[in-house]
Amino acid sequence: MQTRSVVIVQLFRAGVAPPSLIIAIVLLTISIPYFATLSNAATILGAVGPLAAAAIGEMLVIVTGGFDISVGAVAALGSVMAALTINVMGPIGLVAAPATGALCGIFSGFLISRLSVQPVIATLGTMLAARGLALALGGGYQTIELGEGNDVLWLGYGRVLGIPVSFLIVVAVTIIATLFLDRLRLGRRLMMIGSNAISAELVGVPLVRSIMTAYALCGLLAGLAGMIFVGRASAGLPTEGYGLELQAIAAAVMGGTALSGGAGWPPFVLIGALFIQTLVNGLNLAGLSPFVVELATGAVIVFAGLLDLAIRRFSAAQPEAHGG
Amino acid sequence: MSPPGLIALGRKIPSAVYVLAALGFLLAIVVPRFATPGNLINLLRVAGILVIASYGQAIVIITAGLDFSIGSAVALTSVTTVLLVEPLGTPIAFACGGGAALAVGAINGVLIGGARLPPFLVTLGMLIFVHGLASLLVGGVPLEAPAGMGMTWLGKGTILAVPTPIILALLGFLALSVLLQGTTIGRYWYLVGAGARAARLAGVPVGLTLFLAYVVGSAFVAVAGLVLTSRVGSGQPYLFPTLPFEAIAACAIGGLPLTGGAGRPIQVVAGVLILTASENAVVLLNVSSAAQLMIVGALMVGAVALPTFQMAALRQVAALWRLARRYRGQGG
Repeated sequence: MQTRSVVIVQLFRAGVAPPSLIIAIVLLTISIPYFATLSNAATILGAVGPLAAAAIGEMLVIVTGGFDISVGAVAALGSVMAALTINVMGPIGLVAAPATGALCGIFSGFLISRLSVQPVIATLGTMLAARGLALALGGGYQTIELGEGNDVLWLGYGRVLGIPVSFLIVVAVTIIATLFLDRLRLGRRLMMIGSNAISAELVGVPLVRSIMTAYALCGLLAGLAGMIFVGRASAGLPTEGYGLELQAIAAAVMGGTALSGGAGWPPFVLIGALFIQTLVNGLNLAGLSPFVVELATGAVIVFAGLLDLAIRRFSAAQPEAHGG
Repeated sequence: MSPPGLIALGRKIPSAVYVLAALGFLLAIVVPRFATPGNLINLLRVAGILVIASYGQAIVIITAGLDFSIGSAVALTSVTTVLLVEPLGTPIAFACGGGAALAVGAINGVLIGGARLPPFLVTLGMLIFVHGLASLLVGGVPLEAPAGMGMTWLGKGTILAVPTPIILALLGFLALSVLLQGTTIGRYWYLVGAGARAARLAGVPVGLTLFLAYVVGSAFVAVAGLVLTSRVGSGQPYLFPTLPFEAIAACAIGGLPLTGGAGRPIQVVAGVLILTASENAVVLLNVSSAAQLMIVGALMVGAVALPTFQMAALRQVAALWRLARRYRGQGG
């Protein structure tokens, strides 16, 4: 008995992103002539990488009941650090991006878990610091060009069996994140903290360490987004990533992540990211001004919040079914 | 006044005021050209705008919310005002510009107070949405205001030799003090911020209270937006993108708990002055704008994290004291 309402809620949660994506694709196919082509599909898959990586990172902290609004700035800082490192060490320097991101995440996580700073404020501080550092390291330029012979464009534009490399990377990230949340003890702990932090602590979950890990992983994935920036632009981009954090939160919520914590599944977050990227791509193809795209992004974010509300109301309206 | 009276008075003054005094003293000694009348008046003129916007942010923070959308609300105000100033005249254009900011506040209020969405999500969404709207209205480029319409007085003029933004900041201080201390809605803001559930059980209309917090907050933002518009003399979609971060940082530095339920106008003013004075000193010392961002971030996180350290230290002192008393009790 207990399961029926729970199943309905789960289906509803899970069931939002895929139909939204399908409806968006159908509408855009009807209204825009060059939308439904294989090359445009590859364009979308190639462009979704940074958003998808950031969204899955964002999801890992949202399931603990937190937020990270620094992912855009952290991605920019990661791309700058990667570009600087590549110019010294060659393409292996790409790993500097996720490493930098993880450090930023550890910093936010320390502020939040040890010093009990609110997540929004702590990550706002990280955001300002990371953006400032990225701009300072960039020396006032929009880009930090890579030196001769440091070819990393395969990361941004390479294809394996026709599928962009960056998309394959985020698919791998999605699978790993799913296994992490479903199978590993730490992953289960993150879910427990989001459902009820006090109960989690009472049954012996180390809150400080777990929450710090969640933010570190989020920073790592934000840095991965920055690494893909480098692959696409062949340069470090200190001014890139404004608004990425919001699109990431919107993608996570569209993908069924509960804003109150405790629920979320990475594959649907990936689909949520694809939905937003498809929308942006379609509006651009339709020749609309980039400001209309901004309007639509803002609307999607608020809509995602309303959706979360509708699901919460629906769950609350279900009869209590304990011990059924 | 007796010493206990002085101590009581000292406790009433928020710690941010002491920090401000110490910082001002330090900067006056260390930074050349800081403590000159010209620099200080310029500092206050800049601070005036931020103070007015931060009053609005403070109301929202007292209800345990946050408002990021003010960064775009001031841009929408400036764009609307400049677009309408020629056909409608300056006073009506200013009214419409202010109305635009109020409309943004009302939408925030409906979504946060009515639908109970998380404030940061709604206002960040509105930050992007309204920025797109303001850019669309002027095609993404700044729009120069027609000269000779009497628009510059609000931002650049003076009343009795005092710059208008400073006068407006002082008037705003009075208005906010009366609102917070003397009106029912002001007391409701504290109640809802301290605990929304308890407030509802006590009969406070929580949704309406939150709605009004965002609307009244945006009224302060509207004034700040109009002063800014008048100062730059153009409609700019990228008017003051860091405004929300600076306003939130100022409130945090002033000592407003971001968990809501507490806060006084004097703390907001002190927070803004600490922030503005630091930024001003940084500019005088020729540090890059990138470093300024980092300083804002560090000041804000420091201001929020510091009380945790203080509380931990106080708890330790209290524990030691209890321990000492127990041993003395055994001995005597």
